[in-house]
Amino acid sequence: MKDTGLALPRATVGVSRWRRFRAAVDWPLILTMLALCAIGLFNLYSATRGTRHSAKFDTQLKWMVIASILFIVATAVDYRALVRLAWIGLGTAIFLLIVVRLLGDAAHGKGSYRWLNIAGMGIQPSEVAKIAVILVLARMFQDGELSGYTTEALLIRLVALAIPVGLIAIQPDLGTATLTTLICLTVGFLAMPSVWPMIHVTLAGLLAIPILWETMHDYQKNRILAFIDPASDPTGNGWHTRQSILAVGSGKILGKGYGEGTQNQFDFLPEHWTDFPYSVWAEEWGFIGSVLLVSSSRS
Amino acid sequence: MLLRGSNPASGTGPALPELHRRLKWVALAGVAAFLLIAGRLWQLQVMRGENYYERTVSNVVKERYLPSVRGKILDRDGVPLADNRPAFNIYAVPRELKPETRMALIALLGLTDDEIVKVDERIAVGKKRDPKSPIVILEDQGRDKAALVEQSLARLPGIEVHHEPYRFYPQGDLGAHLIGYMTQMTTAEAEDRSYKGYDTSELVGRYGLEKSWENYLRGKQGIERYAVDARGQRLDDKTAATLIQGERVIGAVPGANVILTIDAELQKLSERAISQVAAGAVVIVEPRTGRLRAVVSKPSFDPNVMTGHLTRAEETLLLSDPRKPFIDKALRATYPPGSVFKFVTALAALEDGQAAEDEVFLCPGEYQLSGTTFKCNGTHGKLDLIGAIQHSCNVYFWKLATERIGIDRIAEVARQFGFGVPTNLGLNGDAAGRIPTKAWYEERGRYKVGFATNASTGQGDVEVSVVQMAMAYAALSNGGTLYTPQVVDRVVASDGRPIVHYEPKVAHEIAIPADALDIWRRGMWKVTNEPGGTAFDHGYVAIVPVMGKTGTAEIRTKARKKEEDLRDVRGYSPARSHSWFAGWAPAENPEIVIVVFAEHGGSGGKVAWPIAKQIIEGYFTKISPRPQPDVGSGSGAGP
Repeated sequence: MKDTGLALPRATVGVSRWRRFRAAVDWPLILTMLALCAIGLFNLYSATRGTRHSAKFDTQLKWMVIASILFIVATAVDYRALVRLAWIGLGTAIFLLIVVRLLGDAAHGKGSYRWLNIAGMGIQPSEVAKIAVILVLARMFQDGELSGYTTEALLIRLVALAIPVGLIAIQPDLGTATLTTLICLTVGFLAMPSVWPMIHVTLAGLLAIPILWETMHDYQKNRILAFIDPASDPTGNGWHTRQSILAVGSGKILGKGYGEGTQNQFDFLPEHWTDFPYSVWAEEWGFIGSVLLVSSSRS
Repeated sequence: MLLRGSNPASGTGPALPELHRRLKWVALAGVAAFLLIAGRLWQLQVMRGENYYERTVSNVVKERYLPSVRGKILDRDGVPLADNRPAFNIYAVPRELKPETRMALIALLGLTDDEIVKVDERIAVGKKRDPKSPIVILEDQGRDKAALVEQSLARLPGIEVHHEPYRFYPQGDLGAHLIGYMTQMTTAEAEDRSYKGYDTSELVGRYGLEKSWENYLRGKQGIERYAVDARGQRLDDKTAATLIQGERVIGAVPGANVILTIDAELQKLSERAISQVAAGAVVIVEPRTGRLRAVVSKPSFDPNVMTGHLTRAEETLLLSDPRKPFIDKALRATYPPGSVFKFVTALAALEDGQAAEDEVFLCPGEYQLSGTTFKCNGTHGKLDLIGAIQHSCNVYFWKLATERIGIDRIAEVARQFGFGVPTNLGLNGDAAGRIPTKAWYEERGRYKVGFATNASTGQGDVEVSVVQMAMAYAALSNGGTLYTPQVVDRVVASDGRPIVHYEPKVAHEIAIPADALDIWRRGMWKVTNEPGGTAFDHGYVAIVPVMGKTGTAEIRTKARKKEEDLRDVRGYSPARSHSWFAGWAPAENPEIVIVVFAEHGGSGGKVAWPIAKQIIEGYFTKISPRPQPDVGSGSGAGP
């Protein structure tokens, strides 16, 4: 860490454990996260209030409490220790992704295999995979690690990273697959000795789009087309997109007011509590609220 | 490969300044992404926000038309001729209607192929107009079927049953051509936004009074605004109140009642009488007002069947009937009038001093004109003008027209009596008919003097409508006032408030010399009251003095040949002459003027007159009873 200058403030001898902890904590990050969680809950309340989904707010609150405890625990653990578990984590993620493909609950995921039901708890293996990929990347770019690889070893690792991405893509969950790829590219862009290989990979990826397009199912193509031009199929694939654009746009500058969004309240946005919370927010809080939310998540 | 690109000497990661540079790029990308998002938000929410806002409102707020109760059509005494009765209409919300539901409904009601086609067409139209609003797919289902659907509503999402008024003609086919009927809007009309305020499934007046008085009868539909969620489920009133600005319910205004001058009983009487022939018409008019008391066109149809329930098979049958049941034979169709038209020739000649009451001609049974022989309907021998009217001698009138007054003079007088121009009744086409002149023939080739010969007895190219003839005889009976026929007396709002009252309308006064008119009337008197009269020989009305004129209009050979292929329907032979009677009763101060027309009925005296006689006798016994027979009082009919 001595070379990078990215090390966290070092604990000083004689300082209490609490003070060391406080010094080690990235407060702006935590506050932003807390703010987003609070806004999320607040928004969820509006999105589910008075519907048959109103229990979802309580569930969310319950999980946030549990997650906060886990968060504190995780913060106390030195993340460098987690890096040591990176490959085990990736292996687990790949295993879960295969299991979800074989045993997953397709109904829950609206026709795709995304959810695993473990002890009454739904989990998405792709979420585990995302973290595992990050850890593996961290491990690979750790001091000295990359230079020790032979070409073969490096290729094996790259393939190891490609496997979960591929498994996520065939669930299919193109959104998460794309996000995971972007994580890899971003880390590579920051940590590679030279940026050029990353630029080459990105360009190659872009060039591969037409080939990918050809291998896609029609319904996948239709979804992408409908995303680009929702008017092309206003009651089918474009319905969600169109209704969410209507929701966002109808918020105008100041919004319709908390709990007053008609697109949200009367279900014109399907699955708005899970798939379109931002549209709910934008409808009720308008341009000002929408921009504030985006900027706060960027800080 | 990647390793080769890196420099082992500088460690595995980039140098610190390099890293900062890259972080700046990432931060820049972040800012760019933020600006992109904020820009898009600006576009959506600020620039286009108003538009999107309105669209979200129309997502939630729906409008439903509340049907107005259509006005009734009543006869002069308030007898309903067109009324409303409660009916059960089945509605569907196109967006919610799943194919399974459609199949279930078809199975439940046992719909025919015709009905299924209709249902599908309406759903398709509804989808285009507003997929979330209910539209009628089946109207006027019986109580049983409606109950069946209502019981199964839980299994039929997207289906609704509403109880609504439905047009109903309590008198069946009575005055069908006059009353008319209504039909569903066509697909093209329903898609046309100019029918705003009309529901896709609504009936529109298509014919007769239902069509021409649509604006009064229809009333105004109400509007109910309500709020729905994405599934089209209605939201409760409290929620709706917060979402909807302004009135939520604007009540429907019921249509106004149209009260006719028609007398349902006389109409019934006339229809029964004309039923003796396969096809024909009767018009009865009040001579001093021009108000129509009965207007019959036969054959006709049942407007109840026409309004919504007509199957294709029935429609084909009606359309293929050679007697053309959809043509209004009283108002729309025109026919050669034959001898009932002779008054025109007689009055024209008398007025010009070209004829005299006591001038005697010899009828040898035919009339020779430059090589053509015109056959009279008998060999009448020596006749004066009144005798010529009584016996309906053609030779007498042919001589007057051909040798003295000419065709243009006949046309001039005919036009004065309202022939050749529409009557302005404003119903079912209101035909002008045809009164040929010399110029008319020259436009179409060459004028021949024989055309005048034909025109003088209402033959050749002369064509008139039955209602025109009735108005002309009304003018003859009242001394020369030609009225515009009137069928609607007044329009009254549903609450009884009068809206319009129509006064009798004089088209114009005809200057007829009194002595000329008197001569013609005396001729008419003899027709019905003296032996040898073309009507008297076939029956005599004892109850009231009657006078009239018969007519037997020959069918032109060309037309006859063409129509001979048509099969006879119940004694209907297209080659036979048209049979006419026009007259009035009582002879003095008449109450009614009556014209009976039997299409291809044959002789006027033999066919049309007995029908007229039956109607007149019925009228003066049941509707306007006379003191018992008064046979000898005929003398009053003279001058």
